Amino acid sequence: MIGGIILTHGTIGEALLDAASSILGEIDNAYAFSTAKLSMQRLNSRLNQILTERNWSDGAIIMVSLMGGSCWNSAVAVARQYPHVAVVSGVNLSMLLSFFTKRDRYSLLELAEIIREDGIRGIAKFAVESH
Amino acid sequence: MGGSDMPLVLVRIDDRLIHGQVVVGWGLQLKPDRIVLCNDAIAESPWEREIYLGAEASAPYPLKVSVLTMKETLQLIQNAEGARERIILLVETPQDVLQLARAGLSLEKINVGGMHFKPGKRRLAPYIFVDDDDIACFKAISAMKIELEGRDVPGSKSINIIQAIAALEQRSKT
Repeated sequence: MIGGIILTHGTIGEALLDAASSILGEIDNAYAFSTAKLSMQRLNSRLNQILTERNWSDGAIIMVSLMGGSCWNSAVAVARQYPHVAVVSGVNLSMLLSFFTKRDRYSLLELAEIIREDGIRGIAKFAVESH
Repeated sequence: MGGSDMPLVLVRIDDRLIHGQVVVGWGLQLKPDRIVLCNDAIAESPWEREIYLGAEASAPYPLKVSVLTMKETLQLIQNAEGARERIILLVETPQDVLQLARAGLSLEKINVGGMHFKPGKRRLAPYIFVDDDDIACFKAISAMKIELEGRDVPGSKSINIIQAIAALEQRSKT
């Protein structure tokens, strides 16, 4: 099982996880928490705590809200200490649904690339031409 | 930040260093050419430097990022070439600011943007927690006629740090 950690600004992560469960039903091996009010050290230790306690045999992906944000900085700093942890930024519902429905079928690195692509694929635009 | 030729458009204490509030929040308002992250430990750690240099790619406007030691920061800001750029200078702690000021960097105003909770620190604002050493540092900075303003993002309320410390000390007496 590949574990999922969603680390975001505000309460985006909790809300996305909640939305994903409303579509897929109960979800396990997933955590969501916010960067709000936590120092970098505390963010890092929270991530380390989850990764160490769960020790997912197939690794974990940390999905964060903003590349270059504190969520990204912290996730990358922690992930580099583990052989099987990847970080993907720009988490959205498309990415999460992709993650939860495909995580049993792919290796960690394959899955990281697939959910990045699926996250981007979920962004489309529509406008009536006369506008 | 003496004359109008001085390059520093913001000098900020933020223990999260380069992140969204700085790059997007302050960056879109101040249009810096460069963010200088002044931190000896990070400047000397290749992988940590790499993380923060990533902001060049993620910023929604053209941005250069330098991760420098304190010595390199002083050189960059004091040399003429640097003076043509608009620079946001970021440090992690008030101790860093005091060290830069004592090393001769001319500063008028410091933005206190993030000193997050750690055990033993007391709350000055939702995003500012201090211990006795931080308070002593702020007082020393203020004594050098440098203004200290708490503000996490441009749109939020300004907090006078010295007044907030006085209120905190008053509360702990009673």
